[in-house]
Amino acid sequence: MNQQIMQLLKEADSDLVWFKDHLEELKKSHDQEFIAIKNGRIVGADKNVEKLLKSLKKEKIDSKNVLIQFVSSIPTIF
Amino acid sequence: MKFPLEFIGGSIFLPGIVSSSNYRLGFSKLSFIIDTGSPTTFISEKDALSLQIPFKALRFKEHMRLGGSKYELLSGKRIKIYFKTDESKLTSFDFDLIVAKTTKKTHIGIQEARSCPSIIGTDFLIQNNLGLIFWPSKGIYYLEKKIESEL
Repeated sequence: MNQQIMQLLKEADSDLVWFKDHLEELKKSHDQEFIAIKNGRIVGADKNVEKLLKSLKKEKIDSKNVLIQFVSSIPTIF
Repeated sequence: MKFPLEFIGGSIFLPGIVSSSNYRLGFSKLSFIIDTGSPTTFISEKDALSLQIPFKALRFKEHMRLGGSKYELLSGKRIKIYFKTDESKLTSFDFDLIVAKTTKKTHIGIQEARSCPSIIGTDFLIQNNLGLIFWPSKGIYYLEKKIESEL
């Protein structure tokens, strides 16, 4: 079980690095959108997160196995 | 032990895996933002939807203001969060589930509020004896957990 979790963590880590490396181009192509990243590629994108989750389900992609990030060219302060 | 972080777009990210038999999560990918300005750790509404956590099973705890928006903090049962150390070892932390749900009613308001990420706040750092090492000009960012014998 630990190997499975470690593998998923490595994937999440890689996808986060991919998000960092592509953030500037994503700001142009997917500004104000939620994107789903899996294995270094975008497997879904939408301005509405529920629509994105529905499209992932339609494509038989488990939303628990993707990294969903919001892309914004506007600096965000939490 | 150290937990490597990613510095992305001015925020500090930590990838994790969450699991809980209470919510049939399996092992789910999630990214948190470390926010020392937040006293509360929570799973965002976006991530709760993605994890398929049933909102009806959560109880209202209190209100919270974040980035000019008002959220309801909803509490649930205990979940586990797994992080990877710099030596590729697995460490788990227990977390009494808190989900931040927007109080906005308009479509635009709800969508904007859902852009909020999951946050690791100061409560989590304190409870788990974690220190944030953040030196961006040197490219150094990680969480460090001191074990009792090192204190």
